[in-house]
Amino acid sequence: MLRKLAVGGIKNRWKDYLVLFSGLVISSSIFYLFETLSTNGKYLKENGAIISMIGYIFTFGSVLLMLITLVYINYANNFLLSMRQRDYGLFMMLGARKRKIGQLIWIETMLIGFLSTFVGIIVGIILSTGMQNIVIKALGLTTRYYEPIWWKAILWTLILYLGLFFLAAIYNTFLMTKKPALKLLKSQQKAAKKQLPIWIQIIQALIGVILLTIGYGVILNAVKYGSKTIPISLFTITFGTFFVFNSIVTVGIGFLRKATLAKKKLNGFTLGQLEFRVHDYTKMLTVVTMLLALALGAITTGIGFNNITDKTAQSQSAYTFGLFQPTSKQKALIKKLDVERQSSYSYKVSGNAVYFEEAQFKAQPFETVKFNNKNFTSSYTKLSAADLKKKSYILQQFTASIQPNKQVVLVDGQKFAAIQGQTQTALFFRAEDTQSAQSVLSQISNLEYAKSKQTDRTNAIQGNYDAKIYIIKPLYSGLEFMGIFLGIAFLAMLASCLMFKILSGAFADIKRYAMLSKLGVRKSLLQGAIAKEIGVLFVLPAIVGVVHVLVGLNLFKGLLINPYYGIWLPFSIFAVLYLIYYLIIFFMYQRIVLKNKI
Amino acid sequence: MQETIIEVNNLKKIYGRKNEKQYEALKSINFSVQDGEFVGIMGASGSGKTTLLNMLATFDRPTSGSVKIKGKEIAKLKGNALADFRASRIGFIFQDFNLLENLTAAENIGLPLSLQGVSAKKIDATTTKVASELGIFELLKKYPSELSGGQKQRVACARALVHNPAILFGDEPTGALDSKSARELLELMTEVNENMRTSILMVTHDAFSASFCKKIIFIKDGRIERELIRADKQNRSNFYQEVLDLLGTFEQ
Repeated sequence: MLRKLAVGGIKNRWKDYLVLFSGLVISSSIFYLFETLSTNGKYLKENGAIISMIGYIFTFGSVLLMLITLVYINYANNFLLSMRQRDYGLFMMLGARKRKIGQLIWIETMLIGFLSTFVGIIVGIILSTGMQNIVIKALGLTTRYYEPIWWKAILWTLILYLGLFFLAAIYNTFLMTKKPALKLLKSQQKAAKKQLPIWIQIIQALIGVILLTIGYGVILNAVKYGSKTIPISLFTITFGTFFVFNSIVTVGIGFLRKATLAKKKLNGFTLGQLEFRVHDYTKMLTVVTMLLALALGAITTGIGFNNITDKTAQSQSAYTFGLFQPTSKQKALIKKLDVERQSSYSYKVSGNAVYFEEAQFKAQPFETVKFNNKNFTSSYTKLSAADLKKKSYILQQFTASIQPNKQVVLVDGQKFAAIQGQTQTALFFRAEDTQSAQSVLSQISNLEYAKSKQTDRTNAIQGNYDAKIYIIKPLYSGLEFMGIFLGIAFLAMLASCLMFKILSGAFADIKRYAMLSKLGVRKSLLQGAIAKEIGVLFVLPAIVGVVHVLVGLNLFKGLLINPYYGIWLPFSIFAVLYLIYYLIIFFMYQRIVLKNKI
Repeated sequence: MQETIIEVNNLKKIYGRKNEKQYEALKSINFSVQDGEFVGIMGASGSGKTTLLNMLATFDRPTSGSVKIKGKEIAKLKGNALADFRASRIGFIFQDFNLLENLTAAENIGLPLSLQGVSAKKIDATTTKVASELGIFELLKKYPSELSGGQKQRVACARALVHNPAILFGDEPTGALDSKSARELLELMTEVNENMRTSILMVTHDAFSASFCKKIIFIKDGRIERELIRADKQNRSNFYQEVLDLLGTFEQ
């Protein structure tokens, strides 16, 4: 009988359960997504080679995500409890035994946990497969060694979620069997929370600001702190954000409530709602802020790798191509390009060497790349023939394709003439716009590779176009994939977190808004109040999160040359997504809260 | 000649859709309330008294008939006009107080004025004035959760009166109060009625509460069964007895 009642309870509130269940499924599927990257050592090693300690970074990412999950499941469990308390209280009133009640709530919690984790992993596998395909198709990236179905990730997700639900089930059982039935029945009539005394809030604000300052300081001096940078900054910034929300925002709202502004229309009501909720919401606001910072940071960095692909390629060689014995087809193709600089040199192949005539390099100096280690930029400089003679490996990079294992030697005119062998030409040129001429360049490259004696194309790099396509892009696209993948994952987690918390509060608001409507508040004003209230919950984490990202991007200075280059693009994409999400939540909330007809 | 505050003509309310089983909650109700009157509506559970109050207070729409408050037909009001009418003309005290628990007493009381765009200064002044008159000045800074039932209902009463409504409606206002608080509230309402000349219409099933009214309308099965008017010199306990006697005859 009791079992029937329990199942009946679920049927009656299936909409609430849907919110709960979908939230948990999203959460566990995202965790799975993250773990497919984090626990795949080979993938990380192959794609993150240029980031030292990448495994280390991902371990901390996992820890952070676990903390977020902990908060998340705590919310989910509270939501479940608030739904079920009354029902269980009622069962007790009807004479159900405590042991039986304990059993029921234990089974219910575990069942929800198990089902949502199970479905979450399946959704996670579908998502990771889909994401891999989308990223490969839409962005033209390669994802070497990435496995959408990864048993380690499945295992970790199961361990974490089932473990947490096990704890939650014990907690729930304990709570339900210890609380008197009457208290459970009346659990909904919660008393108002008292504000903390002002001095505690000031101390909290100080601790928050100090922690943030330390975190930012460590990030800005990442070189100095080395491997400690990430754990220190994660810890300080997370807790700093929490304390700042817990104090400064509440004090701010309290201050606004006393201002005349609060007496205008529904402002007082909105501020009252917020003041009551900010206490309740600080954990959520912190989690959302961190997720937002991680998502935005990951996407920005991912796109950053795309931005520097060309720059890095251009710093690989001063020439777009070095062609040996260019064919007439190649010459015709070159005519289609805007050539910025072009020079051709004669050479002869004899014995174990490739001979060039020194005088030709005096007349047309060969160019090379000069690095500026201070600001990580590069420029092209002319090399004197004497210098080139000493650094003949610069030319050897080009000859390696057609004449592997042969030395490059610069000789004077007399010697050159004396060398046996056919005089051949090498053509070096730098094209102005390599971006729009992709197809022409790729044809030239393929024609040149046809002459090569190398079997591995990465050993037949004839200038910076080849370097870009066959070396830089594969390397960076792994990182770009990682960035965008993580960005989307964190964004989804953020979305479910916000939705969960905001909508679970909506049920408590139905009565309040009905009350206001009875007092004669216009519908437009009610909508405005909802828009403002939800707006604040979106804007606060957005502001703090964006600041975190702007500071955090400093971590990528060495890697991305200028991590701030072109950030308007990811930021705008993010802003649009965030705005759309805000509107969705606003309309959902409104539908729940303002459903009375008159 | 006294002004008519409420005029109800041939009011009917039928629940249930056309092709479903219908239930006639109100069958042709006619009555009026004059300016400054204190009217009680009595009836057993299911008699239709709450339905009637909901029609008068614009919380529900009549199936047919008309309700005029200060000469304005309210049955057809919609949207913003309806909201504005509630905000400016009606005060309401609910059985379960309906205070917003996230606002202080002062903010709760001032809310109707905020809605009308009254300046912050004037809101403070008016709130203080009404609160002093109702004897709840010391409670202004407290939150509803810190107040007793009787105090909550006084705050609710202040909120209902702060904007000088044409009429104050009460839906079992003493229903959730202990007998002492209930008596205090009823005395307060009598004072408000006499001193501030506010018209009051209150629904109750409790004879004691009803005995504070000047006129009582008895409803049974959706019809007005009787009207009882307290004579000028009649004291309250005498009137109470009369109400009890009448209820006694109804039950049979």
